[in-house]
Amino acid sequence: MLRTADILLSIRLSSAANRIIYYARRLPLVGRAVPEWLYGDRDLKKAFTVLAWIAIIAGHLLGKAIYLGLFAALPALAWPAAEAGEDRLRLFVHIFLWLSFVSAGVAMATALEPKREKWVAVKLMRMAPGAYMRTHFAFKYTLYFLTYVPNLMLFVGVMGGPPPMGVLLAAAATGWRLVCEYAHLQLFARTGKIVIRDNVLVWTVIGISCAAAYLPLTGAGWAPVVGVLLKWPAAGFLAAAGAAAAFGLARYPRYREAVDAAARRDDPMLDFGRMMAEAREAGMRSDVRPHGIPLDAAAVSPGEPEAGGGTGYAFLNRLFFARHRKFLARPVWRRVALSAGLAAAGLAAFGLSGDRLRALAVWETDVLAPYVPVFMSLYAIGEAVCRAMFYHCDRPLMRYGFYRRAAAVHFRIRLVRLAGCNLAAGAALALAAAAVQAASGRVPARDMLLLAGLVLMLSVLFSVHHLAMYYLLQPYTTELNVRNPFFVLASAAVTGLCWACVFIRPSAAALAAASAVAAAAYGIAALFLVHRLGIRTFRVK
Amino acid sequence: MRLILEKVTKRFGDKTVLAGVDGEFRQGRIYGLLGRNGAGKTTLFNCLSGELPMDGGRAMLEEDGRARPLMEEDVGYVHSMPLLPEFLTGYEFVKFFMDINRDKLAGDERIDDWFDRMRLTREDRHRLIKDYSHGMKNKIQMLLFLITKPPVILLDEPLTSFDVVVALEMKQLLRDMKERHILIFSTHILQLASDLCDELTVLHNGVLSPVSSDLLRSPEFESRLIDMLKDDPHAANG
Repeated sequence: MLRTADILLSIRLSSAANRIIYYARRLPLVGRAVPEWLYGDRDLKKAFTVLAWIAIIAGHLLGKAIYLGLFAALPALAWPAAEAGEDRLRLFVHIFLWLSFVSAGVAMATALEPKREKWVAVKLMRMAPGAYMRTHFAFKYTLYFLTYVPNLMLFVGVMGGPPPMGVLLAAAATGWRLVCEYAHLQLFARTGKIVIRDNVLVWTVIGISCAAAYLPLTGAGWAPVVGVLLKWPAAGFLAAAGAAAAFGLARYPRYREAVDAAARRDDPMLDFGRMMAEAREAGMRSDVRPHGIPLDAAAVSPGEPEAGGGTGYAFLNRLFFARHRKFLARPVWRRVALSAGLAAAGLAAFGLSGDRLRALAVWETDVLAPYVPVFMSLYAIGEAVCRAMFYHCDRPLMRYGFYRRAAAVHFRIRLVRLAGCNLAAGAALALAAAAVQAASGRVPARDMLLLAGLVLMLSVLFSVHHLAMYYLLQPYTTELNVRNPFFVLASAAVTGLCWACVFIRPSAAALAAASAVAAAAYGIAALFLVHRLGIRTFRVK
Repeated sequence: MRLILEKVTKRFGDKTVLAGVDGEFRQGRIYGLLGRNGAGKTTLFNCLSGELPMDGGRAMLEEDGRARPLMEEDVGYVHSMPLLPEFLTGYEFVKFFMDINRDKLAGDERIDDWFDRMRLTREDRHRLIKDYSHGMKNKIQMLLFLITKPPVILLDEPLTSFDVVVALEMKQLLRDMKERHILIFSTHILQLASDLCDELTVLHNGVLSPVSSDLLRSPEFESRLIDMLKDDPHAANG
């Protein structure tokens, strides 16, 4: 087993070190200083192995901190102060119990989960399945316990309990999970059932666990077992049961069947990257049918406008958009429907609550305006359309020099089209906002127009932004992965600017004027840059 | 007309794929570019077609005794996997292509004339490209360069997945085209290379080495070439 542990650890550390080198090489500016031969330099790679160890442990520590912090501590801290004190600790443990004991106990079983490493180790490298699984359990649950201890000590302390209780909870959780692993294996051995693949059962348990975990926040009670779990005897019993289960796992004789069932070559879960790529491609699939344009309708001479209008790039894009309505026309209609729904909900709310709701300042343009950029960044159509253009139209054509040289031509055609769609969706939103503002009876017409103007300006601005980013920082690989850090940074910067408006709270007039200037300046700059740089930037990664 | 390569280099990270490629290719000849998998054949084509920038060296096109740098628009590149927008019919794509290249159309040939020449039926030309076979897609790619007649045509493994009938049609087409173009095609099928090519050149250790015409026709051609390629550290093993 020690030899298996050594090999397994080497694989994990080596692959973690390779990943560190890979991403270090892709860092902007400094990446060039990391040489490729590092992958093969065993001595230097040992230094990266230390980094890999640190990364693995830090990853587990951080992952558990985020999990406990977001899902258990934050709700417990958000509880009304009147019921604080010992109850807060009990609530924290209650949530932890439902999520980590009940939900995870049913939904997670290392022994039967498909895992790439399992397939590589047992099927490719021909390791003995028992040796692999025992080593894997030892590594996983040692790390599980050791990284839970500091986190639980911290959060128990924050909840007002004695920090050593964190050790108790970590031991109980580890013991319980080992018992669950053993139970999953025994059930599989006796019935052939793999519980974690029973999606209905798993999601039902997850749903019930989540509901039960957060039920006390609504004022309802919680399971009395929580109090028991906080005492030494119960936790000690779970830890002892875990030790017995670990002994059972060490002596379990039928790992071969369990690994065979979990490591099938065609299981998409074995290759998460491939699964994601396939999911992205499935999202891009489109039943290309004529949509009113017969496939032989273009039987005209070159240069002669086809029945629907346009030649060359106009003709190409007209056919593209006509045959992929799913990606452009349908999102517009969805947004129009959403706007109509929002207006209807607003008017209905006024009807039900009367003057109390109308009296709120929230309907005023100056109050609403700072939130509009954030809303429009989500509302405007752009990224999905660019991805569809890439996948269905540009991905093959980008390989031709004539198409890249004409980047500015198709950019202009598409900008008009995208801006038109966003203006239509924006107009629906502006009308909905105006209807609600008018019904509130406290917003002058001038302010309604100002809000509408802001929405329309941002519609244009986001159209330019999405298309310019696509043409100048083309981020997609042929598998639709985003592989351009500058694209990610630029997107984050724009999102940051939108959120900054929420905190800076500029007036609606200032925001509308700034949006108009930005849309015009960005549009002109984008046209110029695509004209100059498109041939180099508009290509497949 | 001649295509002249002078010390063309290309590196990916620490790996030098093209280590100063020199070569000369003439109009009226079909050149076979041989090399092992990973030797850099596609990289060389990508550099010549402008898809990848060269790290060093240059490619010149000499016409009527005057040499000038090879431009992207001088090169027609037929990719090994046909790259076409699948949401269009073959007819629509060719119409689009002729629209944007109106200035390069010499005669008054109509779209249907081109399709007739490629032996694509009337029914097929109005089907979506996504329903085309590999051979039909490749014919459409070839058609683009018959229409615009770029001086240099590069074909990356063009005949490897065709059935015998289409392969024969394509070979004939290449023979017909060679008088007006500089034709270079990459392959690792020795029989195809010796059958179709007027001249062979081997990409080996990052440089081009011409194969003598005597060897091309000799019975030892295959064994000599394999010996030559065996020690290429650039090539992918296995």
